[in-house]
Amino acid sequence: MNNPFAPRPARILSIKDETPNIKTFKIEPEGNFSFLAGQFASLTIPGIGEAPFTPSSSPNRLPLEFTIMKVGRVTTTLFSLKEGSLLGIRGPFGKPYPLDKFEGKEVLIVGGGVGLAPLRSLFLALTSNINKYKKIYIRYGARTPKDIVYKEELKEWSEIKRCDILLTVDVGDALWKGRVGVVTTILDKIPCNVKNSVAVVCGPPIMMKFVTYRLLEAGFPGSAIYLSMEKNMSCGIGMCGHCRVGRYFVCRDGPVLTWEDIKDIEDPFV
Amino acid sequence: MYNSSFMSLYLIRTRNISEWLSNLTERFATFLPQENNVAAVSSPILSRQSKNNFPSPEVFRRIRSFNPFLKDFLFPSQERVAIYFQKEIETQKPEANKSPALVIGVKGCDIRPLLVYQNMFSLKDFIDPFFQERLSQTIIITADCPVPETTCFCNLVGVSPHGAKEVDGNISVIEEGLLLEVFTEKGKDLIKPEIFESAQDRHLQERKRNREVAENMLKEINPRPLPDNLPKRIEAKKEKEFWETKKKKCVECFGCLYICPTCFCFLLSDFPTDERYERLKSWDACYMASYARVGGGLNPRPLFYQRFRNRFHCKFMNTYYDFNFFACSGCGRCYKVCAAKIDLRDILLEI
Repeated sequence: MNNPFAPRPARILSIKDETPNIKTFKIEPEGNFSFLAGQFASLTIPGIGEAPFTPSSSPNRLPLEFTIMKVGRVTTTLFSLKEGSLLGIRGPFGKPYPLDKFEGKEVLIVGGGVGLAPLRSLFLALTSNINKYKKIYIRYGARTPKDIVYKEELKEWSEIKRCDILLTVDVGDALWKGRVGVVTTILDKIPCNVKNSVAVVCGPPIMMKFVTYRLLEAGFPGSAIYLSMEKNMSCGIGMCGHCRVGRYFVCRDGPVLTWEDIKDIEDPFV
Repeated sequence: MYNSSFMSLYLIRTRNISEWLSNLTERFATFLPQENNVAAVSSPILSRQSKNNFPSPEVFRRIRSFNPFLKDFLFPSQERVAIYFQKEIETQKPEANKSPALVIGVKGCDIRPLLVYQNMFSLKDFIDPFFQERLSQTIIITADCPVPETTCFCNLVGVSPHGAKEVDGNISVIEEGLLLEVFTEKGKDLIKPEIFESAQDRHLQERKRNREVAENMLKEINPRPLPDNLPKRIEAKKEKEFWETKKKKCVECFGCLYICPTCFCFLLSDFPTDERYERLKSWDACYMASYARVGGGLNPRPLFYQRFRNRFHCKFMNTYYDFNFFACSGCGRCYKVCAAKIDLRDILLEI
């Protein structure tokens, strides 16, 4: 019988610095690994530990890319590894975005900081079939211009037909000529028809909270607001209890839950 | 496991019980409740039966064993679940050839936890192969519980003191010996035809009377039912003051959560050994401060009253919404082990 606790080998092919504390790791698992946008994988640093990450690469393509921020023990050790290092991988876990529910609609993607990483995977999945969706918006905020991820790609994406992208930073610098203000400020004007749109949000907990309130205020139904829940995980397969939020296990029923799912839970964002 | 057209009732007379148990210990790794002399622990300890020194059948009339046997046996406190990246890449496989185990004398309240494990570890998208393998190699016979004690509250959480139907069989102690009701082929296979006979009506009547006595005792021990609509009421009980008061005596020893048979939480941890890495799976408890803390340091339950409350959220609200039963067997082990004698009933009845 398959052992869902055992990791498979996966090698680091390349490492790219995105910001002072964010790197993108290109990783080749042994054997096949296919996932759908929204699902995640658990990466093992051999002998140290494991943590869940959503790929930022396009689904159904190898190698996998993970854009990761250094925050704790596992990620700090990961950041000390070099190209060619061996990791472990388990997955894919979790439920993907229900892309069939997005068809024919406008998709408003709202990202904060490294939260743009899983949203990139979604964006690539959508643009590979762009005619199915009415329009795709990205509204992205980072703390400072140095903390913006995918700087070059964001420029390329704004050239794609049916895509509309706005950026902002909390605090500018001498060279920054763009918008300044938290990401909710670029949601003052909601660009889409809320009656036929879905919103997908990913970022720090406090950002997700205020963006959700803004979207609800603007008339988005709770069932059309898709949120990437962040919880401490251990098994990743719905058994160990750690990632529970209310009756849901983020690894089993999520990681993407709608506001409708979690609205009655006290303080659902970490 | 339960097949309604299969029910069979047999009697084994008292004088033949030792012979039966002896035969069983030849065939299986057999686990029975044993009386013990430890003063602080008044209930039996369920452990491996040797080839002689069988307990008196009276032991089956006692309440649940002090140790949560099925938890220790099917979901060990620590086990290795993967070996990775050794020279010949090979991952840990469950031990397929262990000799089958037989446990007799677990109670109705020991089976509610089994349902929790089955739901958590083997019914959804992923299956724990170690648990699955162990369970498939284990024959379980429950025993009626004719003399509940003051720590028992199975009747409050929907658990029956008359064993369970989801197992291989159930025994009841009666005057003439043991009444064995079998539910599965594996249960039937335990019967030695020479020393078992068909049960008569009078035996069933005696069992029925004993069961009524147990039910009445439970009603006396726990006269007030839990509040109606308990899951919704727990959800609505958000006052910090209420939970601060309830958790005040708790010294955070985590004894309740480790001994609780329905607690299923575990933690995976990796460490290097020689030229390979091992992954261990160990019991964990949501009372711990780091339980829900994320890598960056944020914690959804940073204060202890929130973690204390989470135990109620998990056992009496979230699991109920998920599986339609409480993740509590009413066994009272948590109370027995608690240094501060915090009684779940007192808290639940006030919600």
